Amino acid sequence: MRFEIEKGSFAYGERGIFKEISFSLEGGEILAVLGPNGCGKTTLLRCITGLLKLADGKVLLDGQSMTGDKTQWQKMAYVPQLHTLPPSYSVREMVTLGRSAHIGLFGTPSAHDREIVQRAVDEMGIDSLSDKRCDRLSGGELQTVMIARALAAEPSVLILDEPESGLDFRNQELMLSIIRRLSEKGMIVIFNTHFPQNALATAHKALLMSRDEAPVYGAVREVITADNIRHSFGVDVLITDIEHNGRIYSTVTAVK
Amino acid sequence: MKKRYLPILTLLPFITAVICTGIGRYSIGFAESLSVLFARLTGYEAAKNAYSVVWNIRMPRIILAAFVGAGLSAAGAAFQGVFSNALATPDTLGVASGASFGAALAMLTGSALFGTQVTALIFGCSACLLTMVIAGRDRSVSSVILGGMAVSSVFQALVALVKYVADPVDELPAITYWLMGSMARASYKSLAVGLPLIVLGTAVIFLLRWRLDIIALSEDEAASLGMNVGLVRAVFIIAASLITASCVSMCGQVGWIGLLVPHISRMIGGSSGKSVIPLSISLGAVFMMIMDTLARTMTAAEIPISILTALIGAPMFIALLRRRRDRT
Repeated sequence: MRFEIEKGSFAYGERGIFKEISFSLEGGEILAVLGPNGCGKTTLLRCITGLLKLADGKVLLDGQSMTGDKTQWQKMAYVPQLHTLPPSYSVREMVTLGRSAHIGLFGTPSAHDREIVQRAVDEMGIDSLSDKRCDRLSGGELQTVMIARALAAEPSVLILDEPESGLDFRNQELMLSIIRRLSEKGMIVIFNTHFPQNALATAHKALLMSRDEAPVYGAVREVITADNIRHSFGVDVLITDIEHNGRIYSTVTAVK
Repeated sequence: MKKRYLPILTLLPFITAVICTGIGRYSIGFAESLSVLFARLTGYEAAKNAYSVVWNIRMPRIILAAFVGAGLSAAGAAFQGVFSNALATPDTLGVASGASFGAALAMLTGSALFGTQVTALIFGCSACLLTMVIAGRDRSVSSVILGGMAVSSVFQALVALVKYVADPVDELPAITYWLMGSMARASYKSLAVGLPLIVLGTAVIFLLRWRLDIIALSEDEAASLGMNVGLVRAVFIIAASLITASCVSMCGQVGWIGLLVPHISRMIGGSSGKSVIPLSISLGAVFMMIMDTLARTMTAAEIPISILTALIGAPMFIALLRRRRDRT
């Protein structure tokens, strides 16, 4: 499994959003996309998924161009940020919608589909929620449901737009651990984040976007550096490693 | 919705139909109307009057009421899903107004029933197209509904114009009464022309019922579930418009049902299209048959059906909304 973007560029009319972005990911790799507000992180994700068309460049899955139709969405899943309250479907109904790309236009979910839905529900540990209405869930619960729905498509590439935004501390950690767990199973995961520390804790690779300059891409520790963050965000930071029980934890602290 | 409710939902309209055939000025009991209905099969010697009342007078309009009720309810549920808007109804796209104008125009020029239906259909679908053109490429929910409002008011003005130039002695009352809605003109001949289109539209919505849940999500979510959002949305809109135009051409404007029945269905079985559509079809048929039976039996003269659906539907709807608010 290999997912790559080659010299991808996008512009809204005259206004260029990003230019010549390239990266390449193998199965099990996690890419974190960072950058200041308005630099085009979500636009980049939407271009990767084909929801927006790149002005220039290519997105390749296993060397093949993305088709934009059902067959693409059998291999790729996207969890957008939710801006409105979801419809009042039950959690199970919502997760079942993830099977859409595998079901014919006039079809309805089969027993086989329901089995896969159950697996996604178990994987995310939301079986106890499955009869609850989606519009009555907490933010953290809803985000897990959205990821379960994405998993129901059985994708090999999972793309998440700010999965841990707006969640409390515990739920943020939960999201990051979910991402790590999925990558350990061989999935390629791409996620946007506002937190350099989360990128360091989770991702293998990072893409740091800036508003007017070329993005920086590479191994996460080479990209998330004090210099690069000052450049991109205009904030001075201190990156320190703390050892605890034989593991290294990195913290990113803004300093004056 | 559980599978075991399906037989009940299927049977309910038939039972209602049999009961309704027995009710009226010429009263026939439930058992008697059952015997009359199956007279041909069982060789039962029905009274000539009863046979004629059941088969020639009541049955066509009961059939029409059932299909119009089922169709408009399914169309309402479809529009509400497509626009993710609980207030979207067959009137939202201006289809009902367009079809009304077409039919009024046909009546003004004195064309026959078939001509009226075709004209209503043409103008109903044109109104739908016009709305989609006005909404433009982005097809966002608000622009579609605003476009529908504009188209609707244009056609309402045109209907008023038709009424203004109509002969006040015979054409004007005919058009006015027709706009208020009535099943009285139903005949097997008119059913043969109009019903296939209602059945076609309803069948498409029924087959696509699971897709309705996806189309109600945000644009990006729906697309990322691997669905051709534009195509499915267009199919829903065309099917629902087809139903609306056929209904309007056959029995005038019948309000409220496209709003009321899908809401009741959602309260019974949750908001998934998998249950809302079958429930709406079944309950819509039952509701409309009861309304029409009331319309023809409550007073010596017939009450226009849109007056009844509004007088009964609106308070029912308000009560349902209040109950739901209390629960949440």
